[in-house]
Amino acid sequence: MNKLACIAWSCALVFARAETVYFETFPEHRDPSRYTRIAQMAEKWEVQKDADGARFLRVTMQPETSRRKGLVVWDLAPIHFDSLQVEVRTDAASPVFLSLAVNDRFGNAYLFAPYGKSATAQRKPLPTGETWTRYIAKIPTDITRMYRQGKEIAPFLHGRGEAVSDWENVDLTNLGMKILHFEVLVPPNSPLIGKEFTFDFRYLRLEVNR
Amino acid sequence: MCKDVLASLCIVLASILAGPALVAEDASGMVAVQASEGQRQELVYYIWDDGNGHWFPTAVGFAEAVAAHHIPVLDSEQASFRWVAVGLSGWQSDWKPADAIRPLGKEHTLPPQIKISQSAFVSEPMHPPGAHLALTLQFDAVQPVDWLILKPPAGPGRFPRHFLVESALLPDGPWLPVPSANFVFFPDPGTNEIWIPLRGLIAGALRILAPQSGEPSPGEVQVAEARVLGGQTPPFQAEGGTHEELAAWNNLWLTFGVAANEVHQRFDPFWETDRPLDGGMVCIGSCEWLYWGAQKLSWLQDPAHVVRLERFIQNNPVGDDGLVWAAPGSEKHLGHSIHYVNQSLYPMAVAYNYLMRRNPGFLKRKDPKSGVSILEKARRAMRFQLDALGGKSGMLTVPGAEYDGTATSKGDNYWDFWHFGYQSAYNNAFFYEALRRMADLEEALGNMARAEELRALRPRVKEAFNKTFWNDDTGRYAGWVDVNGTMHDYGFTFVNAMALAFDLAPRDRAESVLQWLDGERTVEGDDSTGADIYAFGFAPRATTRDARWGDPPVVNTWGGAFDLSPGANAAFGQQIQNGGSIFYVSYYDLHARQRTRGPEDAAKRFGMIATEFLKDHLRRDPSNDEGVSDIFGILREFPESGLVPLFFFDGILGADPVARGLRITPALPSHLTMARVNKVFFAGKVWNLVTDRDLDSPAIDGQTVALPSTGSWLLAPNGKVTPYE
Repeated sequence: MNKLACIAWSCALVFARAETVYFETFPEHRDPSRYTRIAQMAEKWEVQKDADGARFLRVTMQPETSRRKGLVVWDLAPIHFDSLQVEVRTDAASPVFLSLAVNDRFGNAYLFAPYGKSATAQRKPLPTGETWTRYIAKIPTDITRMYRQGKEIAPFLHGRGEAVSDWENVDLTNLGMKILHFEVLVPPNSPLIGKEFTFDFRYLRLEVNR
Repeated sequence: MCKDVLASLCIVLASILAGPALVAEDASGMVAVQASEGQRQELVYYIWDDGNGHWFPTAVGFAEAVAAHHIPVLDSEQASFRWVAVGLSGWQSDWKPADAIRPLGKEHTLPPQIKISQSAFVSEPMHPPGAHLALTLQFDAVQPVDWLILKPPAGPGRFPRHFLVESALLPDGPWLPVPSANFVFFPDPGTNEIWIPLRGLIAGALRILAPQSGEPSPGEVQVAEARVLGGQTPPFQAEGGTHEELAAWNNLWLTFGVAANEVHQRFDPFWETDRPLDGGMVCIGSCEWLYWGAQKLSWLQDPAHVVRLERFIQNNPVGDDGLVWAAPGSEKHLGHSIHYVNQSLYPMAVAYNYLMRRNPGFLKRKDPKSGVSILEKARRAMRFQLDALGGKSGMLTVPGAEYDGTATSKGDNYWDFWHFGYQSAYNNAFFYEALRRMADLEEALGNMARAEELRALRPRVKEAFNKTFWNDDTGRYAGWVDVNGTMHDYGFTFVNAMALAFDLAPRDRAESVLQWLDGERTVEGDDSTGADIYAFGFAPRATTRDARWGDPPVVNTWGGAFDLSPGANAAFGQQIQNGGSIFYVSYYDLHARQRTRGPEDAAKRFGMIATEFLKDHLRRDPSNDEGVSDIFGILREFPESGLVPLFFFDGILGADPVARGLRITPALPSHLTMARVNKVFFAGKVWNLVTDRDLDSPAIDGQTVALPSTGSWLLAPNGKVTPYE
C-alpha cells in the first residue's frame, strides 16, 4: 500500500462506522466443536453459562516447563474483517499473556500485538479474577508481523499503521480470514507451572468499517 | 439413452465449455447458470434475478470459482438474468448481467405446493435471549421438499438481513441447519420472491432463523408469505418403517451420497470444504475412491456426476506393466506410497460402471496420455495382480522391502497410518471381490473362458485368506502378515466387516467376528471392549487395540508428527485410524450383518446409525487434544460416507449388477413390507425397482419393476425379468 493510499485509508477510518459481521455467543443450536479447537497446554474446554445466562467458553490450561503456551483456535468460514474484539478472563494467580495470530485462507499469517502492547508500552499480563477484559485487534494498526508462505514480509511500524516495506501485493481491504489462534502464554519459571487455571472467552466479535 | 438424459448431458457439456455467467436451458425448463465474481477472498454467495420477480440465492463458496446454479424457468417469455455476489462481511458486488442469454421456450413444471401452517416471526428462547427470531412452517406430513419460497413484506428494510433455514421432522425439533441455505447481509429484495432450493430434503417442518445483530430491531423483520413446494417421491421409499427411518435413509443419501444441500467451497461437490462448513461430498478423483464412486453414482439418472466419474476412470494412468497409479501425475498416493489395493479398485470401478450402465463406448474410451482403452487398462490391472503380485496362487503378496509389512515399511492402502503390506487382508479381500466383478464384466463382453478362469480362482483366494489371516487367539481376521510371517492384529473392524460382507468368512468365523464387535465376547489385550467398540454410535471404532502396543509400532508417524503416547495426538481414540472411526465402515458392517445373521441384525445396526444421524445429521468433526480434527471420518474428504445409505439399494433391495443384468435379491427386515428405489439408471433406461411382501411373482408396469421379497431375480438389459439362477 503506498503512502497516498494509507492517508486515504486513514481518512476513511475517521468516518467509518463499525458493523458486526461475526458475533460468537455460543448459541445452543450450534455445536462449538465444529469451529473451536484447543492444543498444547490447553487441556479441555466446555461452554458454560454466566449468572445472566450469557454463554462463554471455559478452557482449562495446565502449563508445564516444556509447554507454556495454550492455543484456542476458531475456524471461520473465510471472512473479511477490519477489527476483532473478545472478552477474556482468567483465574490464574500469576501473570498470563494473550496474543493473537490469524491465518487467511491462503495460509498467510498475521500476528497481532499482544494484550497491553502499544506503540509506547510492552505487553501486560491479563487482570485476574471475575472481571472480563476486552482485547481488541485492528487491521492494520495492530498487525506486528506478517508472513506469506512461511516467510516474513513487511513488518509494520507498530501503532502507526504504516508499512516499512513493499505492500503492493497485500490488499488489506480484501482478506479471507480463516483461522484465529488465541495464544495464552505463561513465562518461564512461572508459579503456574504444573497447576491448572481457567481461561474464559466470550463475545468474540468481528467488525468491518463501512 | 433416454431424452432427459441427453438433455441433461447437454447442460453438462455447456457448463464445461462455457465461461462465467452463462445461461443454458434444458428440456425440463431448468436453466443452468454460472457466475464468478473472481476477486473477493472471503466466501461469497450469489443471487440470481430472473427479471421476473424471483431471486435465487446460492450457497457460499470461493469467489474465484465458477458457481453453477439451476433455476426453474417460471415465465417462458422472460429471459433476462443478472446476478450479484455478497460476501460474508456484507461486501456486495454490482449487479451484473449474464453474458449469454438465449430465448427460453419451456416453463419448468414445479412440484406441488405443500400445505403448511405458519407461525409469526417470534423470538426464540435461546441464549442470549432475543438474539434470534424464528418463523416455523409445519407440514401435515413428513415429505420431500424442493423449494422454500419467501415473499418479502411491503416496504424496504423489513425482510431479514441475515437468515438461515433449518429443518426438522417434527416441529419440536431437533432443528438442523441446511448448510447451503445460510445467508448474511441479504440485499433488500424489494418485491422479489426468494426461491431457496432444498432438493428433496425430507422434512416435517422448516424454520427460518434470523440472527439479530441490532438492525432491524427484533420484532420488525417479517416474511409476508412463505410457500413450500415438494411432495415428490424420494429415492428410497418403504412401507412399514417409521418416518424417522425413511427420513434417515433419504437424508443420509442427500447429505453424503449426492451432497446436494452442502456447502462446496469450490462450488464443486467433487472437492472438499474446510471446517467449519465441511460436509458431504460426491467423490474424489483419485483411484482409491473410484470404485466407491462407481457404486455411488453409476445407478443415477442424472449423468452430471457420472460424466465426471467416467472422466476420472479414463484419465487414471495404468502403466504398461499394469501398475495402477494413484492419480494422474502420481504413481504413489500423495507422492508417498504405492497403494497396491488400486490394482483391484480400478477394474472394479470399470466393471461396476459398465455393468450398471451398459455403455460399450465407455470401455473403448482411451487414456488421453497412453492411448490405451479403459477396458484394456482394467485388464492390465488384473493381470498385474495375478502375475506380479502372485494372485494366481490365491494370495496377493507385495514384493520388496518398502511394503513388507514391518515397522520400517509403508502402508499400501487407504488405511496408510498402518503398515499394511506383504500379505494384506484388506487388499486380498478386495482382490476376491475384484475377481467376481471382472469375471462378470468379461462374461458380459462374451469372454466366457476368461470369466471362468477368474471365477475359478475365488475358492482358492477364500481358502488362502482364511488360512493366512484368521487369528485363532482373537477369533477374528488380522490386518496383514509381514515378510517375517508375523501376524498383525489390532482389532481391525473394517477388515473384518469387509471379509464378512464379501462372503470370505465361513459361518462360524463370521459369527465369532460379530460376537467380538457386539461386545458379546472380550478379546484379551484389546483396549476397546464391550459397548465401547460402538461408543461413537455411527460406526465401530476402526481398531480395538492401541497401536502403541506394537513392538515396535507398525504405523507411519510421518517422521514423528504422530505421537502414540497417552494424551498425544495419535493416542488411542485420538486418531482416526487408532481407535477413532470412519463412517463408511458401517456400509460393510451392514452387509456383514445381513449376510451372517440376516436382515434383522442389519436393521438393528441401521437403527442405531439413524438415531445418531437424526441428532445432528452426523455433522461431527471434533478435534483431538492437540487441536487436530482427526478423530472421525464422516465429513470433508470422506465421500465414501455415502456408501452407508447405498445399503438401501444394494442391501435391502439387494441390487447388484452382474454379467447378465441387474441381480436383485431382496432382504427386507421384518418391519418392512415394501421397499422401493426410484429412478435407477440401468442399461440405458430408468427404472423404479420395488420389492413387496404381497407379491408372489414379478410385475412390470412401464418403468416400474415389482418383485417378490424372496428369491433372487434378474432384470436383463432388455427389460425382461426372470428368476436368477
